[in-house]
Amino acid sequence: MVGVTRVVLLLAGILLMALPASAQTAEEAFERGNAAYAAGDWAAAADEYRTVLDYRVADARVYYNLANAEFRMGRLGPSILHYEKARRLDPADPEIQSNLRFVQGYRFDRVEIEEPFLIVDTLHGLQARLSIDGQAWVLVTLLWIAAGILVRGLSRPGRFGPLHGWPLAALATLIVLVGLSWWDTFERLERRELAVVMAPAAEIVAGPGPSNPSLLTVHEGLTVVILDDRGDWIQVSLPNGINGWIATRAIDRV
Amino acid sequence: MIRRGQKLAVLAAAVLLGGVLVAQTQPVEVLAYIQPASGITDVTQVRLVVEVSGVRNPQIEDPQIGELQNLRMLRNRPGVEQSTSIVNGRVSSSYRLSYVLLPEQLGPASIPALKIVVDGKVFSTDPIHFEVASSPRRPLDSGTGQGGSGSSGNVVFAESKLSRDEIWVGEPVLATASVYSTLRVHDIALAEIPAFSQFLATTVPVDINSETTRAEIGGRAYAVYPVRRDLLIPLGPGSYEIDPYTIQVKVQSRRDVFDLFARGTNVMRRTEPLTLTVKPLPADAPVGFGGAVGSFGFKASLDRSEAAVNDAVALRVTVEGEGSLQTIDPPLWEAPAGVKVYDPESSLETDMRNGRLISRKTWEWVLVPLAPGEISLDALEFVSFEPRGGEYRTDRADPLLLAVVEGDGLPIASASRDRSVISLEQKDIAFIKPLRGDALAYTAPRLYQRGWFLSLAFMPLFWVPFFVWLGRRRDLLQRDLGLARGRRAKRRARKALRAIRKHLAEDDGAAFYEEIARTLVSYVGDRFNRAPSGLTYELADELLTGRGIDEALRLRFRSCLETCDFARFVPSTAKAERRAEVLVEATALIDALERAW
Repeated sequence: MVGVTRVVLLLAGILLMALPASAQTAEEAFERGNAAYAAGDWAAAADEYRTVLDYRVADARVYYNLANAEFRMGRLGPSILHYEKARRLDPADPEIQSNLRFVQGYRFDRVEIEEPFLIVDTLHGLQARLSIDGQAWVLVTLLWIAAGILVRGLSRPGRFGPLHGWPLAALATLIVLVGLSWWDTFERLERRELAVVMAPAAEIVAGPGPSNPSLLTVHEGLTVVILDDRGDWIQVSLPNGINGWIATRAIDRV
Repeated sequence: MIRRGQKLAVLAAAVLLGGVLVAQTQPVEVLAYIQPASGITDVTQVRLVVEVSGVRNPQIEDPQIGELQNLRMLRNRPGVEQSTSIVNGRVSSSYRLSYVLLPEQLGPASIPALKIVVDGKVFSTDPIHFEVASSPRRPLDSGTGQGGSGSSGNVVFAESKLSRDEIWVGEPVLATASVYSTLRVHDIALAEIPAFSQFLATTVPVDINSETTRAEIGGRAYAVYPVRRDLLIPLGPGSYEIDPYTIQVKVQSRRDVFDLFARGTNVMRRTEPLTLTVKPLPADAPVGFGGAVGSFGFKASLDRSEAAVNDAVALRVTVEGEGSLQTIDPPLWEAPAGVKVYDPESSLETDMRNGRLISRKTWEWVLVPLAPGEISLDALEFVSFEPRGGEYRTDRADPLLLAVVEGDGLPIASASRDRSVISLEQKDIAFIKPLRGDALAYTAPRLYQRGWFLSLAFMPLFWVPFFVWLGRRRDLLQRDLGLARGRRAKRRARKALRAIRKHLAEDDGAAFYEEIARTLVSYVGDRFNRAPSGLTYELADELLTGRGIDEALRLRFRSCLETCDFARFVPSTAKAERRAEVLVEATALIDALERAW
């Protein structure tokens, strides 16, 4: 009996020590990575940032700093991959956007991206600033307010009037707009699966297999949208709208 | 009268029927002829007409036209016309298929007999023979343009010419086809252009309206309409005959001047063939000659004089001058050691100035210095063939110097276009992000993936109906006091009975029974919204009867009340056990009445 108690106490102690230790280690590793980066030791910095990621950290700052370190080491593909991961976590961060644009300028493949309309650009900026969770909160808050007005108006026969109807109509419009915005953000940032070409050059072929005719060659750092996954081959959509298949080993998913 | 009218109607019908029969019995004829029937020259557009008559709505298969002699067909599909006429009550229909032919040369021409199938029956036409005469091409040759308007003194002719008769291989020459006319021209269309199979040909745009000029030939004033210009670059040496241009001109004759509805007359004109001599280039071409023939200038430049290791530097070489640069190779040069050179991109601009082709071609190489130091590009030269002097010429650019310093280890920019865009946006990536005391965010599901959040989002679906129902019920009870009192009756009665139970052990039996009786009567009063003070036992019984309460229950109710009354006035009976029984009965009565309600 005494033996069992000792084992339980020992395990509890290990657990208690391990929990804060892991939390501290992730942040300490991050600080160590920053110090190495500041000293110009890009490789050491990248190692520390990867250590941080081992703790299941999902922080845009870690991916961003890791992308910076990768870029300094001349690793274009990993750099773009980590900037894309950082952007997915924090789409409103202007430094992530500008660094990604800058690094993409070093890609071999020239990608023509049409400038979006100003209003679309502004809306996307607002969506990114609010984040998908922020929009969800706004949506639920509006729903509760609308439900409250509905209860207030309907709980007594004949009470529902313009004082309830107009705010309710306005809230319903807002709910639809915020709902559409949330859905758009979800589709663009959550559901759409991106990948970055990591191989120096990779063939885009017409079908899932090396025997299919080659359509074109893409190069390291090109970001593609994943359409289908067939194990060793993945169907992707290129920025210029061309669809084709690429070997899975040539890309990394964002 | 009626009989006479009927006779007239029958007669008229017979006449009409007879007419139809006459029309139907008309023999089918197939005839082939040409227009014009005579006076055909080598520029006359000949119309071959196949006419089918004597049949209405026939099924005609396109005739098989055999081998034409000295003629060629401009359109394979025939034009179709139909006409119907009634002459002296005789209805006749005819169908015409027409083909456009053009003589190939002077001399005899012929169209063989045609076989044509009409309504399944085969008909054959006679062959047509005629002579192609020489056309008057120059105003001095003849006063009239045959195939033109036909009026004496009016001349329309076509002319083509080359900017030079003798050139070198690769040297451009301009072929121009023009129409000369003393008549007003409504429209000009090219019917045939030469094949230019031995040339690299490019059409030079012509604006007839703005480029029409005047010329005087043989004392006669002509309007000169440029119709077509072709820039020709011979691909090999030799003597070439350039085929004639055939041009259709719609002119207004003098006779048409007074005719408001005149739509002009089409005439066909053909230019003379042209001869061009192309000389081969001298055999002693220097190394680096890429095929440039013309008078060109040459310059080379770097987009910067200083760069870091791994920077992308653009080397631009521009060749500009008179001549064609369409197919020439880029200048050869040797890359110095320590420089990575990517394949060049080129751009070509051309322009026509005063009938001369001006070209400008630019090549751009991306150079990436791989090591620090000074790099000199001093072997840049461009070799061309100067046609005026008939010799090769080599132009050399001034040496280009590039100072290369240590770089920062950045990846190599792959294209100068990207590099220029980058340099406009920013110099470098932004610095890393610090922690600033904030904890790092760990992997966590989004809100929409969390159950509690989804519950929160969908909760209004449940609480809205509940609170609406609750509010309405409360409102109803507030407005209907009787209903509210009735609903509270049981609760009040039970509360009163519980209070009585606490006093069960006390000695005051009369008060106990009085309270029991009051509770029962108050219950009925609450249920029927009546004041208990005015409620007699009879009235209570009457109300319960009206409510449909069964007799046994009513009797129990009445009995309980009477028991209470009796006990109040005969205190000896008010023993504790009995009081408990009465309390139990009263409670049971309230429950039974509630169930029966």
